[in-house]
Amino acid sequence: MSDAICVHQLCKEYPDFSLQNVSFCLPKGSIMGFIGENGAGKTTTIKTMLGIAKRTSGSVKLFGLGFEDHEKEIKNRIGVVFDECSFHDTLTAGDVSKILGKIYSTWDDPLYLRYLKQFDLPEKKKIKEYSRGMKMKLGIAAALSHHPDLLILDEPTSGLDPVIREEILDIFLEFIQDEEHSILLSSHITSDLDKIADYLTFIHEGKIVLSKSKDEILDDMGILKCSIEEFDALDKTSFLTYRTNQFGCEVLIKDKMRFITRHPEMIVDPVSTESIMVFYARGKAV
Amino acid sequence: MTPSGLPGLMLKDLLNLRPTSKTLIVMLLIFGIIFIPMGNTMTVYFILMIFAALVPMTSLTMDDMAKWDRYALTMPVTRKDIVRSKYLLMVLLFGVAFVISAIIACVSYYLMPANATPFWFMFLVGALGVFYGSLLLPLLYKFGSEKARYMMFVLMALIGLLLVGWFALFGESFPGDLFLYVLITCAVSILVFVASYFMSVRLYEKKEF
Repeated sequence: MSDAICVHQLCKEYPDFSLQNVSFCLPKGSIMGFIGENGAGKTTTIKTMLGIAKRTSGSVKLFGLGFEDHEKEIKNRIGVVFDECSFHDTLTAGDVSKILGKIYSTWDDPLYLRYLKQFDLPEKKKIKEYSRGMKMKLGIAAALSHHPDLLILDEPTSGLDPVIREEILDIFLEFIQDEEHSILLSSHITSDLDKIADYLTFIHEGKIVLSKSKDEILDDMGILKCSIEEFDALDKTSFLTYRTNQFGCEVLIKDKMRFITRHPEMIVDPVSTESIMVFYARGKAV
Repeated sequence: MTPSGLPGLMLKDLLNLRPTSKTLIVMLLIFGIIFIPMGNTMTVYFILMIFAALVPMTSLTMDDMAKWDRYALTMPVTRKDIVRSKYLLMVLLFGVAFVISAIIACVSYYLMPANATPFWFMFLVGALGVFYGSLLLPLLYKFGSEKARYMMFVLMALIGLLLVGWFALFGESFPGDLFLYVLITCAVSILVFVASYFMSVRLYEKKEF
């Protein structure tokens, strides 16, 4: 199985922030959730990946091709949606189609009009009169209408109500029915990712802390609840991060089954995407 | 050859400038009605050329506000295409400004041959307009539309000084020499325009969004 995205040791230095050796691969035909708290480096990673910001070092391959030699080919095959609408306020949805039709060689006008209808987006209304949800849906319609093989979405569902979010997630699931299609979806709304992601990549302070299939993560990882004394006494090879509270200690462990066989008396709860994110962002390293 | 995306980028600018162009046309009509009957076509040429130099700047500001550039860079267009589209827009606008000026010039020669502004003056003003626009765009790319807006006024004063200086130096020349000086001024501003394009491309290649 080939990869739609392969990022290797990507670095980007800013005066006050840096991406450090970011590596992950997204296999074709799947959805990857890219998770991290605000400011963890999700948008920077996406921008650096696409060459919108210049990388300091590392390599990025989309569909096995490098940007150095295949920039236009790659960009014809991707659709990108940012967290904010990128179209000018004075334009209408109809204008967007005229513009993008001249930019993408594979622009499909009937398909775009179908999306506008499906999303209830008026073609002649100015974008400045659209609600936030409508703007997001317009961005998604535009990103889908040149038949991309890969969608890259930076927080497309943030700030939207659950009904619209559900609607948008359905569109993504429909898109992924084609096995050649893939999606990279950055978000901090973990419930959305629980619903649709096949792979999860967690980023924290510019570093990838975990990148695996969702099933593997949910099967292997667990949250151990114990007292501080127990925590001190235990062998810490399976521990990743821990948090203390007034009742004792919560520890994120990487091999739940092995740990339980060794310590059958201990309580190990299942993990959720949200708890992993919080553990990495707020927990202390062992 | 793969399509460059340039027509799409330019169409985006033209569609975006619809509201601006309406205001400009109204302003032009007002100025035209005031100045042309006074025989003061010079001022109208001047205004036209300033419009032509400032409109690409407006379009850049609008791109900044919409965060368009980072989105455009995900499309099959290169950074060079994006800069090129702005320079082509400027050429197009000066073309339009020039045609309107020429029409005004012809009409005023026909109606009031005695106090019509000489034709060469139109070229001189056009050359200074191109010069002004060529200085503005690299500044916009370097400093962003917010800061460059103030530099615009400083530059405008500079252009005013240049015009006054030009007249002090060459204004009283013999017609033959005058023609030569106008020609040289035009050539210089075209050179500055070309240099400005390459400079903007270099600045834009380094820009991050």
